Order: sequence, then structure tokens, then C-alpha cells
Amino acid sequence: MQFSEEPIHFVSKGNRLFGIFHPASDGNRNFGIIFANSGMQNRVGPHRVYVIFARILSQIGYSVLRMDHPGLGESEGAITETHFDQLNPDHTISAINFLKDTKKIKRIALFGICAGARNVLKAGSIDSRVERIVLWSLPIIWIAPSMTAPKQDFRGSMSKKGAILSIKNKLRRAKSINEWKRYFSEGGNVKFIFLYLKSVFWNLVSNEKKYSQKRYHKFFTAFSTYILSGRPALFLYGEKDNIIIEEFKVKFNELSADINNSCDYVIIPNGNHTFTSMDTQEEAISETIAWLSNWSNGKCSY
Amino acid sequence: MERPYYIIRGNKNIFAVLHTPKSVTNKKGIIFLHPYAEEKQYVDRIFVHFARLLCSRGYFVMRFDFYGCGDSEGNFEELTFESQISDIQSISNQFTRDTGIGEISLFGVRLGASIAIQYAGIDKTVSDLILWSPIVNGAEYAETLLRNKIFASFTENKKVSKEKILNELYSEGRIDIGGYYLTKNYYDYLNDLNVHNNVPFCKGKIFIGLTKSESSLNDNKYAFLVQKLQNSGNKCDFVATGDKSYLDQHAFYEWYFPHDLINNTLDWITQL
Repeated sequence: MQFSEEPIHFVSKGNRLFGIFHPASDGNRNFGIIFANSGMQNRVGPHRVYVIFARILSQIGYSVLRMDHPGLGESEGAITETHFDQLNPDHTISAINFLKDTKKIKRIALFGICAGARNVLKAGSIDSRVERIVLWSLPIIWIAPSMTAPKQDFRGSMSKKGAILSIKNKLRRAKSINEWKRYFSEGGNVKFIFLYLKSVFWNLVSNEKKYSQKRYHKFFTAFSTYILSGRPALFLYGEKDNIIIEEFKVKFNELSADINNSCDYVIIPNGNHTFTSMDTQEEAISETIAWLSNWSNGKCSY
Repeated sequence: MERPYYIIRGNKNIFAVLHTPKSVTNKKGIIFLHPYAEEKQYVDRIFVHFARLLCSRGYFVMRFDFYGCGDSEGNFEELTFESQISDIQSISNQFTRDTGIGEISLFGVRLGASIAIQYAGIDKTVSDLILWSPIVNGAEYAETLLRNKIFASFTENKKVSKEKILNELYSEGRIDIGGYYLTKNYYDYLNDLNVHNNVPFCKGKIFIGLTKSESSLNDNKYAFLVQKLQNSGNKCDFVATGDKSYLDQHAFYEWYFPHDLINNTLDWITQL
């Protein structure tokens, strides 16, 4: 099998951005999928899953572009905020332009994990050339305490329901000495625990008004715009990502109830937020490819 | 100027990025060696940043992904110590061909640093070694990997013992640890790795850089390593900076860069 991956650059809002292009192995230019960074990880993705997934997709007839947003991987620019709305969807749209104009790819879909999912949902809501979006572990409100909200604002990081679930989760885990060992061995400290508690309590006493905060308002507007457009979306979650799943269900029902049935929702048994174990990765990839096969009318199948 | 490209080793494609300085002040080049598995992600942008700094000071830099890692061809479970050594050889040859540099130094982090030490024992043309938090005892590191697997199993409510993990490793030839397959071959390599027992002689100098938290935990281990390196005739400098650790998930999500360590290393290199 010939190795045909190609390092590429394109310009977006004055930044020279980097990516790896995987052409479809049969040379067709019909279907292209852009992978947006999953938060702070570069184009390789968590546990290298972007590389693994892109290679499978290119073998079955899709072209793939794994891109680095500004400040990540090989791209120019800097990261100024660390939260999951840090990636600007305009750069993903520049990547669509690149695939369309330079690589002559006819049809476009977008894929992202976590912050990447939020990014591609927003890009899809802006750009009608996007035919499909694949969202793994799309966060609705909840974020990990280690990821601060914009301007270090600890508020608004989770819904009330998420806060309750989070406390239950943590209390269950706090009973285990090994959990504590693990927490501290991964760089956790007392400051993070304090920040976490502060955040949780704020979120317990306040409630839905956080949905109207500017950042979330933008996100939910994009969410409903995309859903209302009738274009398909796949929402895929790991079973262990229970807080995010619960928040998703609430918002999804609110935003999309009976509007269309082009959205699918899949849970991967035993999967966590980034599908750390290889078997859950394989399952998530396999489910996604099955879902995408409608798009290619079965021409690209596993 | 940065040039991303694939370098061919045999029939394998190794992803690399060559940094060429605007004004070449010397004929020195530095090859970066990344750490193992997901630790590679934690240092990715630190590597890019540090390479750009070095390049702005007139150095050629070559960063690359070992076969089976990052953007290079292959699957992670194909990674072996031998393939890593071959990768460095191929990268080193290409680096020299592309730039005309006369002297190559190696910069490695964690297991990348240990491999730099081992490679310097094989290729006597290596000039200087820049080592951040080298893994001195591979068996301890392998033990940590297994422990991580055990910890992870607690959160998944399917507790596994070390014995069970090892049984699977020996029977299947590989085990999934945090989304990467640790193979029996690589596990054996790690268990045999003891940097103290195989200290090379470098014609240049050696820099060992640690953050505060690492140095306080491993004082004796690194002091002993420095002593061993010096006893073998090496000129070795040891620096522990006040930075916090940059090699864990929290530091990564905070986008933390060990600036003191970076600046200390940069100063050390420019004074060579």
C-alpha cells in the first residue's frame, strides 16, 4: 500500500496553518472530511486516534485533512485562552476553502472530539457547504475543573444537573486511596480541588441563566441553526462520559425535539471522553464509518 | 524557515520538520527526540516553541516522529528500540545532507532522553547531549505504565491485577495502556534499560535539565547519573529549575511551558 499522506499549509486570517492531507486511496475527489483539533491536542489527536481514523477513512475512499488551528501543532499563532470555545470556526472554514479550491474535493463533512466537536458544529452552522458533522464527546456546558473558563472565570462551567452528577462521581471516587494516588500522580493538587469545589458550589446555587452567557448563547444558537438546517449530525459519546451525556440529552431535546430525524445519537459502551482504550476507539470508528456510508451511498465502506 | 516532509527509511515514511535559520551563525544542528506514547502530546508545542527559539539563534533543528508515532507511518505497536535507533540514523544522515551541518547534537525528553544517551553510545559522531528528565531506570518506568493501567481499571470499575496484565502481555504480545499498545518486545526493552550501566562518552558536553518537582523526588538518582557520566570522562552540567512539571495532564490543559528550563537550556547551548 502506497503511503500518500502530504503535509500542507494554508492561510487563514493571516496565520499560516498546517495540516496533513490524506487523499482517498482510490483517487476519487468526491468526499472530504476535515478533522478539527480536540482542544489543545495537535492534529494527531488524543492517543493518536486522529491518525488511525484518517488512515482508515482514506483507505475506504474518503479524503481527510487533519488540521492544526493557530497556536497548535505546527501552525503559526498562539493559544491565548484554554477552554473549549478557544478554536475559532473561521479557521475550519478556511480549511474547507483549501479542500475545495486546492484539492478540488466536491463534498465536505467535519469531524471533531470535545472542543473540536464544538468547533465543527459552529463551522457547520455558518457554512452551508458542510453536508455532515460528526461530533464525538460534544461538551454542552460542563468542563473539567482543570480547564478554566475564559478570563479564568470559574463560573458557568457546568449546569446544575452536571454539578450534582459531578459531585456524586467525585464522592464515589474519593473513597478510593488509589484514586487519590492517581489524581496526584497526574499533576492534581489542592488548588485544583479548591477551584473545583468553588465551581461546583457556584453552579449549584445559580442555574439556567448561565445558558444565556454570551459564549454559551453563541454555541446554542449555532447548535439550533445547524439542527434546523436539516443536515445530518452524528452525536457520539462514551458511556463513561455520563455528565456530558446527561447535559447533551437535556439540550438536544430542547433544541431539536421532533424537528428532524437526521441526527443520530450513539453511545459507545465503556467509552470515556476521549475513547482511551483501543476497543472503544475501534467501536467509535466503526460506528462513525457505518453512519457515513449513507453519505457516500455505500461507496465508501469498511 | 520550517519545512515539514517525510524522510524515507527503507520503505518507511518518517515525518520530520526541518528548521533552517535565516542567518546561519554556526554549522551546528540539533535533533529532537520525543518521549513515549501520550507524553509526546504533552511536549509537542514545547518542542515547536523551543525549536523556533533555537532556530532564531542560528541553529538548524530537526524534529521528527519515531516510526509508529505521531504523523509517521506505522502503528504504535511496531515501535521498537531498534526501529528508534534506525530512525535517528536516517534522520541524522538526511539532516546532514539537507543542511551541510558539521556537528549534530541530540535533545531528548524522558524516554527520548534515554534513547539519546543510548544512541550516543552507538554513534560516536554525536556532539552534545541535552537531556530533560531522562528515564534512568526503564524497569521503574515500565512499572509506572502498568500501575497507570491498574489505576485506570479502578475508574472503569473492572479492577485488574498486575499479574493479570502481565499474563495478557505475555499471551497476546501486547497490552493496551492508555490507548497505546505496549508490546512484550518494548516491555522487555524497558526492563533492560538502565542508563547507569551503559554510560557513553560524548565528545562534546552533556546537559541534564529537570524541573523542581522532579529533582526533589529524584535527587539521588540524577546525582548518581551525573557522577557516572563524569566518571566516564564527560563534561556534564546539571540544572534544576523552579518550573513546575510540564509532563502531566493538568499542565497540558493549562498550556504550561517550563520557561526557566527552556531559557536555561538555550543559554547552555549558546555558550557551547
